[in-house]
Amino acid sequence: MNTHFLSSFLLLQTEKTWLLMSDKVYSVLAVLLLIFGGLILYIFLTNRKIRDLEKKLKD
Amino acid sequence: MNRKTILRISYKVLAVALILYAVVFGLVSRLPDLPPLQQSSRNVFFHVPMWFAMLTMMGISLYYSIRLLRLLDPDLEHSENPLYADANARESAGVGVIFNALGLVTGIIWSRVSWAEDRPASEFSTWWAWDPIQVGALVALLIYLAYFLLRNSFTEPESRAKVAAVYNIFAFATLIPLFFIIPRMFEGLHPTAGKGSFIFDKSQISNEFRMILYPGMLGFILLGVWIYELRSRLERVRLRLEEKLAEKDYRETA
Repeated sequence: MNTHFLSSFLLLQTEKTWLLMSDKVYSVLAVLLLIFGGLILYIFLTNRKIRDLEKKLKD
Repeated sequence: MNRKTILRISYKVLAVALILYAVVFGLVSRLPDLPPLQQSSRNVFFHVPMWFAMLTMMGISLYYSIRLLRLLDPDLEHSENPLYADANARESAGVGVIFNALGLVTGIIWSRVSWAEDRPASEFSTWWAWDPIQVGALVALLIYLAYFLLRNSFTEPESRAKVAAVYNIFAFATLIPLFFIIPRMFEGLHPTAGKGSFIFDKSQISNEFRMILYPGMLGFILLGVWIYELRSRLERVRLRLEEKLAEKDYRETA
């Protein structure tokens, strides 16, 4: 039950899974979303690091 | 504009162009039908490059770890700060870890829709297939996370750099059995599995796939280098700032 809840929560997963719809093409979109989402998040964290450094420079 | 600047700009332009090409053609081109995979076979253009980008980043990290150990040699005369090499090794390993995590998550999704499509979402095996490469990738991720933990356990920068560099060399060495030797001894989900794949065979990857896969792979590797270069430059600025602050403190106390 817990595993099911976790998977539903993480991937908006229901019993009739959307990942399998339209000949599984949604899985490709999910993969693309994850890759670019992950990379953007990493760049965002880098940007935060730059801001911290700028603050340090000002001080 | 000097040669270095031109090179820096051109590889970034090439990265964007190749990734755009892989995304657009990876989604719209006609591909041979691979029955259990259906349209999810297009994942190959995005999932596989994650591993090659990861290996490149770990390779760069290894190079700087070896370089650091050379720079710490007291018999070698140089003017380079060894901590810059350490910063480069750390930043490239960091980018490699991101690609490793992305490769793992995208692989989980792909195996869920191909190998485990008939299984209920509540089962753990639906999401984790215990495939040799999958397990190897997780072990590699843990090994590199331990690299960062190890670094954080030191306060003195030079000894931290030295121990981390030695660990990093061994960490890279583990990637070879984890990705290239052990998987060839078992059957699994990947086409490179030595005793056969449950889903699709290496011979099913035709030239239509290769035409998109290889440029995409290069594109993601270059994107990784781009992110690494940004982080490494940032780290160099931080180190230089710390040097200046230490100099200022020294002058004030003297």
